[in-house]
Amino acid sequence: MNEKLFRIISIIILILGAVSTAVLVAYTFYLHEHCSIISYIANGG
Amino acid sequence: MRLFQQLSTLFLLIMCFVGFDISVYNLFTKRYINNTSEQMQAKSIELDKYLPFDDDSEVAETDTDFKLTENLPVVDGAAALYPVFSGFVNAVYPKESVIFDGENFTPESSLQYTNTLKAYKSVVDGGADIIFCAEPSDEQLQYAEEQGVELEFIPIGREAFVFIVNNENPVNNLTVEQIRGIYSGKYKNWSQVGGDNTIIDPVQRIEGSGSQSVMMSFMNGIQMKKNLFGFMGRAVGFSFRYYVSEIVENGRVKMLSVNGVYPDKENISSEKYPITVDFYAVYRKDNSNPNVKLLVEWILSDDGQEIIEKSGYVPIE
Repeated sequence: MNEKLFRIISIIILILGAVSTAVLVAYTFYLHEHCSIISYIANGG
Repeated sequence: MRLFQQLSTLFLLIMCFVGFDISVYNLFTKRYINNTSEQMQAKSIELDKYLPFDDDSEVAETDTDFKLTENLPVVDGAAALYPVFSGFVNAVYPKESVIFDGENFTPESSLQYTNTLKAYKSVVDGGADIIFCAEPSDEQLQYAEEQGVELEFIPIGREAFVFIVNNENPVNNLTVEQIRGIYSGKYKNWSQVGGDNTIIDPVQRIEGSGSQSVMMSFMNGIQMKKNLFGFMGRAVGFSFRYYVSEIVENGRVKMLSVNGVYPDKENISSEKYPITVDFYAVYRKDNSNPNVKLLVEWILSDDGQEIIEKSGYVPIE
């Protein structure tokens, strides 16, 4: 694999990874705002 | 060899993100997934389950000669008490006075449901004539005072204030002192109160909600603290007995005994359970609708108290 291709694939993975993590964190905050105490405890909290 | 290094680097990069996301999901995300119905999530209760004048409703019924036909007081209140005040409407109001659009009651309906926070504002502002709630927060009392409104609080029934944990938590009982110690930050590990070596996560509700106001009153001036690392441990929360055991009915949580007494109906009415609270009919003292006081008088009568009893709560003496 030439260096240029390797860099492009690395950058794509970094971007996709960062986006997926950001979405997961945002989703978690959303759930946190709407979760009831009973659900939280039932889920093992 | 170079290709192998490049592929290994890419694989490692992917695994870093995957590993991090899985950790975030397991530590945080999955704990916050609400496992109740959409209606429960939006309104804290399934309104149509206790709808008045509905054949499939689970609302409590009683035979009574007391009927209101005009000047109907608009009633509203807390989620935990919705089955009760829906039962009052079912027994006393004409059927056409309640208009449910499938999601909530229309503004013309004499039965409203906005939950504690909005109900207190509504009764002060004159939107609701009577609300059915637990004791108010200091902010709610202050709002009424700022508006120059005096509220009348009539106790109409009793309920246990309960503490809940996950079923897998080995603790089944706490003393009042231990509960205050947990919420004040004195006890931070379940092993300090008879459990296993796990961090305690003392969760609270939003300020102004009925159960949060009762909890603040129960703490008797002691400031409540959150545990920053609580997410790594096991939680304890609070609510009202009927809401936990009958309305939500989540089999994965259990109610704790307090001072060795379990919060069942018998122990509430005999006052053996140490944390029982009154719930109230609340109305403006200057409300000129004569049916407001007549309705409250009926609620305190045998017929009204029967609704409270049949709804699963404890009647007032």
